[in-house]
This record gives sequence, C-alpha cells and structure tokens, in this order.
Amino acid sequence: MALLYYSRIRLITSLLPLLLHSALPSAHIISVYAAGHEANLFPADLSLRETYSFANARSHVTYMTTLTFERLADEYKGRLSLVHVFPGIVLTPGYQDPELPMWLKVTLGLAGPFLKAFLAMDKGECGARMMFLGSERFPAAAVGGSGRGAVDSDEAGLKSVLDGGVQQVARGTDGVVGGGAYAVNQVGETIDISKAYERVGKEELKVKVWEHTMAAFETIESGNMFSG
Amino acid sequence: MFKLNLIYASNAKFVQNHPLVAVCVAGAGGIGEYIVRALATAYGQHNPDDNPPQNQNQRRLRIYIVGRNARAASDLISECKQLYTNGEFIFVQADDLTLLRNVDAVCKEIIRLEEEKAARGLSEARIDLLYMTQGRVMLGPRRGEPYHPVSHLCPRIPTSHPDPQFPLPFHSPP
Repeated sequence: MALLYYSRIRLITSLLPLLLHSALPSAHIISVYAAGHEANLFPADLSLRETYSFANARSHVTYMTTLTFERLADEYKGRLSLVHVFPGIVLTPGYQDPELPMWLKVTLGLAGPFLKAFLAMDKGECGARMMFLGSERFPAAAVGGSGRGAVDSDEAGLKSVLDGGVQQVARGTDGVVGGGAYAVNQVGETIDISKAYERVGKEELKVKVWEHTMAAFETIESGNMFSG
Repeated sequence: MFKLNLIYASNAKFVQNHPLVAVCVAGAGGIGEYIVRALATAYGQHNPDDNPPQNQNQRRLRIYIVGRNARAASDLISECKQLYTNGEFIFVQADDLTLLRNVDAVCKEIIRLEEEKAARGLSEARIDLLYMTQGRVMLGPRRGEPYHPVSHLCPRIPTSHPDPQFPLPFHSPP
C-alpha cells in the first residue's frame, strides 16, 4: 500500500507547486494500478492492520485512490486531472521476481506463452494507451461546474475530435462528465464504479480517508510511528 | 474500446500541439518504461522540425525518470535520445519509495532540477504529466511488525544478502 497509495499521494501533494504551473489546460496525474477494484471495505481499519490480504489491500488502495482523487480534483478545479487506470495484463519484469510464491511462478510459467500470444497487451500498445490518458479526454473539473462536451463517448467521438470536432470527455468517478477524477480500464474506457459506493457514506468516507492520509504523513514526518 | 490507431492519432496530435515536462515514477522499468518510450517515440515521429535541436536549452520534451536502477535508466535514456534528439531525459535516483523521506527527497530533487532547467530554457518550472507505476506483485501475508503504512507494506523480511533492487521493509526513525 505504501507504493500503491501513500507514496503516490505524497508525490502529488509535494509536486503541486510544479503541477499547478502546467502549460497544458491542466496537469494530468495518472496512477497505474487497479482502477475498478473496489471490493471489501473496512472503514474502521483503513491501514488493514487486522485484515490484510493482497485482495483487501488492492481494494483499499482503490477506494482510497478514488476518494482522494475526487477530493483533489474538486479542490483544484481547472488545474488538476487525476486518472486511476487498470492496465490489464502486461507481462513486465515484475512478474519475473524470484521472490514470487512458487504457485504463481509455476502458473506464469505454464500460462505465460498463452497470455503473451492472446491476452497480454504488448509494450508499445501499453505505452501509447497510457500516454492517451494525459489527453483532454480526461480534463480537470470545469471551474464553473460541469456541462462540457458530450458524454463518455465511444470511438466515433474520438474520431470526430481528431477531425476537428468538439472535445469529447469521459465521465468522472463522481458520475459527472468531465468530473476531473477518472477510473479507466486498459482500453481507455470509463469504469462504472458507482455500485461499490451504493452502501458507503461516500462523502464521509472521503473526509475520513483524507484525514487518515494526512495524519499518516504528519506523524511520520515528525519521526513517530503511525498507528492509524 | 478505443482502437489503437485512434490512440496513436490522438497522441500524434497531442505532441504536435504541446511541449511537455513529464515525470515518470518507476520509469526505468515495467509499464513506466513503456510510457517513457511511448512519449519519446511519439515526439520523435511527429516533430521532425526539431530533430536535431535548434537551441540546446529549449526542449520540447523533458522527462524525469525516477527509479532505483541507474543502469536500466541509462539504457532507456540512450534509446530515447535516439528516438527523439530534442528530448531531454533525466534520471532521478530514488531509494525505496515505501519510506516517506525517500519520496520527499525525490520530489525535492525534481523541483530543484526543473527550476534550474526551466531557467536556462527561459521557461517556467512545471510538470504537465505525472505518471506513477511503482509497485510490486506482493502476495501473501504482510510480514514484520505493523509499522506505519508508508514503511511497512513490503511483506519481505531483510535477507542475509540485501539486494539494492529489493526494498527493506522496516523504517528506522530519523
């Protein structure tokens, strides 16, 4: 979770002075991990001290990323766009880590060639698709409130933009078109995450996650152990 | 689904319209590396006027590659310079980013470098794109004591032959 969430939020908040001077319509922040993987949630144990597992960690990082990205998009309307993306299956050297558990090494060894041939995305395509996430399809939230461009459009929309038409923008995680914070899949489509927040007090949780994150930073900065 | 040819067309339009300062954290390997290469390739393919550079200090593309592996970064930078000679690719050495102080050190260094380079190029210090791909496939239980989140989440314990490629899991107070 350190690499996947906390260090990423710290990078954003520390680099804000430069981000806010972007020469683009707004700076674009792209966190590559696991958009759309909100699952189990333990609001009373955000750090997962009691209930850590790979899947729970992934779920918590996703929830916290969504909520913190929405908060930052709102606080810096017109200045920051934040995208959380799930890149799909990309066979990077990370999967050759000798310390992976044996069962995974065996599975990858057996399934590797098949994945590579049929399911995994190749390096060039992956890089290009990640680069696309910095485009104005994913703009910062509009300062005066939304209502820009057409809805989360499909390919026809992108084609028309390339032909000089109006910029089509994606729907944000808050359900607003051009909301400023986005959850996107490996082929650039918006992921609908609304179900995950149906029974969650979203605004309350958003505040809680922010306070938790800032408390972690402040505690660690002052040389103490964070136990929240 | 956005077909790949449209993605490439959109990227081409982007690089023709915008000079760029990008930061790729964990950019020396994995998906981060693919992003760096994609940027260099797109700029190189679609900005033929500035290959070779007119003014050494006015760069159309500057990428800060943050990573631990200097050698991998150096190989990537050589490759990128071939792809786009008016690109500037700078390696920022990072230590284990599970430690807050290392994250802060990286940020401080990026700010320092960007202010210096922007001043020489007569432009404003800025970041346009920030990509973050740092992470590892960390399955299994979290090992070691439950330290504060930014330091304790690698489930490995230190081995007897610590490898600089693998992070140490414990945070020692400053």
